[in-house]
Amino acid sequence: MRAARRRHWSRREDKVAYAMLVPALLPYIAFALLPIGWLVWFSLHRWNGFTAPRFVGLDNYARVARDEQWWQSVLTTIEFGAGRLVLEIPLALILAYVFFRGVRAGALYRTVVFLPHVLSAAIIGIIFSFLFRDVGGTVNQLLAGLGWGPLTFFGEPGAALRTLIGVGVWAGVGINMLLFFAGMTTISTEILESAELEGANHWQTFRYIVAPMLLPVTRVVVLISIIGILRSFDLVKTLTDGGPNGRTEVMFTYLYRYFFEPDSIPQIGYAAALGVTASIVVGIVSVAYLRVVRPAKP
Amino acid sequence: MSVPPSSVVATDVTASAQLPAVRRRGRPVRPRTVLLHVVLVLVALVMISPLLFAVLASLTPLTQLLSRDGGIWPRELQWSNYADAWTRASFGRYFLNSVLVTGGVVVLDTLVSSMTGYVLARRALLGQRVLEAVYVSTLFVGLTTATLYPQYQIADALGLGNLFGVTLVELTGIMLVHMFLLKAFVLGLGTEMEDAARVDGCGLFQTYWRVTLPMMRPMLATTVILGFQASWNNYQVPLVFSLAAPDLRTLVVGVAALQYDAADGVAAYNTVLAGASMALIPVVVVFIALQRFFVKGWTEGSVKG
Repeated sequence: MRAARRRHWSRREDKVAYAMLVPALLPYIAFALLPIGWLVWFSLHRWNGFTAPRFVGLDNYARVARDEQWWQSVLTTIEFGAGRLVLEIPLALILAYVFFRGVRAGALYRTVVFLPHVLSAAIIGIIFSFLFRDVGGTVNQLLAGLGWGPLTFFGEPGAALRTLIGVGVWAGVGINMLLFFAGMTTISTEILESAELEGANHWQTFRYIVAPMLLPVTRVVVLISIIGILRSFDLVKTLTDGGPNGRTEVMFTYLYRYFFEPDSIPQIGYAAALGVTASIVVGIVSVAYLRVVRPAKP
Repeated sequence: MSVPPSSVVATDVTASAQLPAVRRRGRPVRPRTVLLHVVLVLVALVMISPLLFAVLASLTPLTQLLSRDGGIWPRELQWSNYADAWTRASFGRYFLNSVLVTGGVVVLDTLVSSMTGYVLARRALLGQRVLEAVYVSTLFVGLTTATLYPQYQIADALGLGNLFGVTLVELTGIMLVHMFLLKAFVLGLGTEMEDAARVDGCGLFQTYWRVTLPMMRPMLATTVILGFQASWNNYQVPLVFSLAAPDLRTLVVGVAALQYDAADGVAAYNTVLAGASMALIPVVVVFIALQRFFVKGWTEGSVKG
């Protein structure tokens, strides 16, 4: 009798529990699940967004495979990512280690280095597109004051990509530094003290103790960076907007145009196929990265 | 404050964790230390100066900004740039939109994520594991630029092609991580208080509302900060919603739109940068005031996985 009543009670509680899940589930279904399904479904259609969509099977994907500009943007994305990682990760690691070993006013420096991470990437792009203007930009005026000729920051493809990487590093080094720093604080002080007693210098301590123990954190930090960079949109859109001549177009700024800034008629089906492909590229790169770093010796 | 095991990484970060025995006693300041500080000051300058130059430019007359060699220092501080941005470029409206959307996202996220996190932590419902797996897989697939178009179409079809729609789409983007952070936090809490509430006759919802929700405060501080930042800085969602309705622009979108106009010829850089400063200042102020929570939030949100 009592057990039955409890079961009844608990079933009523289950209803309450389900009801409590609904407020998150509704927006999730409407704005996550449906849009993803929608994307896959319409990637199989030819559709301009207005007239009736026509099922075309994998035609859009065949076109993606042939779209040279698309693969150029994939390549640019990877160049942008590689450039950023090569600079950002070592720099973040060095800064984190300096702060970890302790330096006067370390907390203040840390705050300053981290600051860009809390700012809007779109606004950062706007600010730097102003500061780096090829003609009359703040940076070029400062250089002129030092007697150095004006530099090209946007006018030429290679320069524009370097500008993008530079600003990306400026914006991204702080969070990586912070994550490395957080990882270092978990290393037991006893190990470090005994290393100190044995006469290890800073570099040796880093090389033989901190770096190996930080490896798991490093793997995660790099993975997060890779995914974030491959999904770049805001910074690129407002800093170079893919210019000059589409040469700094990355995957997501490229496919955005097919959705929202078409040259003539919108090609929603094709844009959807690009979106699915972009997600697959992100997945492949992430998995490949994990395959590469997993067998690394401890 | 009880801390779940998962956040051990984060808790030491704010209390600057300096090692003992690093600075040896009785030694004079070494040249290497001086060099280190020179380098660090340079790094700090590189990080800060772009923002300062932007603020300076936002106070500079337009003619000076447009001339080839107008110099860096404003010839006169033109505060009217801000007034112009506020009224003529309708940044007042955009600011209000930003406040409404960000406020909505933070409030809804706090309620929705904490409720879901609580149920996921405390119940073993039929289908619960499937639900969690679906939520996690969405995190991996990611809601990116590619899903903006269907998100907007669906919102529009539901009659939500407005600021509330922007709020819900942004909410969907951030709540998944937050519900798992909160679930992990609740798992780390003891159940004594909840049990006591149960004995006193509280139902499931009442227990959550009166007992557990207040106990979640340390982690809610984190999710509120992350939600505030993500929503205030969001560019893509309000951009897409406001393409056909400029009234829906948030501050970030408004600044970017003005920059596009500027690039077309009428380069109102001073207004653009005044708007940019307006968009940055609230975040910077909140960051400096609540830095501890930002640091905690970012380290918890990322390294955990």
